[in-house]
Amino acid sequence: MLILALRIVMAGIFLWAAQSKIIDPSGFAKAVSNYHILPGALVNIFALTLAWVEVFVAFGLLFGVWRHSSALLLNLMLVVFTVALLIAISKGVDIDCGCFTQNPDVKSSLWEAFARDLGFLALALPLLFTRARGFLWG
Amino acid sequence: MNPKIISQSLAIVFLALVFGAANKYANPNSPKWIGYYPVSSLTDTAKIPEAAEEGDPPYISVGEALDFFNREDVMFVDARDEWDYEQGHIAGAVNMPYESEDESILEDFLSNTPKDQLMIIYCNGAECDLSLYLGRTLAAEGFDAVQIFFGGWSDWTLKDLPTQQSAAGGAGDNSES
Repeated sequence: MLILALRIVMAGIFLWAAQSKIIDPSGFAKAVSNYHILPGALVNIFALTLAWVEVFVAFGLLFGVWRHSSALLLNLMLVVFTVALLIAISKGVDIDCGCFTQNPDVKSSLWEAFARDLGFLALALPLLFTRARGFLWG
Repeated sequence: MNPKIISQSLAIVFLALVFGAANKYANPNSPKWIGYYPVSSLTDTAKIPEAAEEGDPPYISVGEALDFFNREDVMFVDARDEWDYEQGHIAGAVNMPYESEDESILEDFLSNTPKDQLMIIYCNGAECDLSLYLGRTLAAEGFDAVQIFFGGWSDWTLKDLPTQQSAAGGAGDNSES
């Protein structure tokens, strides 16, 4: 029951996060480029694709389709986001997260986003360890 | 780890790539597949010509020009003459030589370009007002998505941004830029 609740919550969060990236892929690509982590040539492909990974992972969690792969990708994305934020924070750059909005006027601190991602990770990690047969280490 | 999980995860990523591609073609607000991003972000402000007047199309900086360059739906328009254009221009830009004596070039350009085409007009930079004149002409003709990159060719090359030589699309060529 708790796992189901976590799946629904994470699905909601990721669908919410995906929508601004789908509406404004250019803005999201710009946000990704500002991190200066990915090689420039990969930024746009990454930005165009990531939004839909978020959507399909959310659907997977919500409807229980391929939900173990979805849970894996969910955690993978959260780890990547958290590391990216940490790199940006350590560089001391003043950039937008790009997480939930691509509107550059909406300012949020990277520390906040980092803390938020840690919270999400805490909610997402249990989904990797459900007792379902044949899953991950089962 | 269960290999099925790996293959399903890869399938999700592939599916996402397909949907990302579909969104790219459906959504005008999309980036090109391969963008160009310099090692450090460009944060200069727009150069404004002395002859600027109220009501001119908006002036943009080289950083903003690069943001547009990375988009799919934008057309860069080089207002210099053919010779300058062929020596080197912003990658993908079309040539619309404003001072050409052949008036049909401008007429062709006006009739072959959609009124809502997002256009970035530029010429050499500081000493060149052709972008300003062409921008005003286009605005007067009802083109409402025109912006002027007054820093132009000199600012673009100073930042080592993507360029191209020879003729790759002439006036009125609306092919992918």
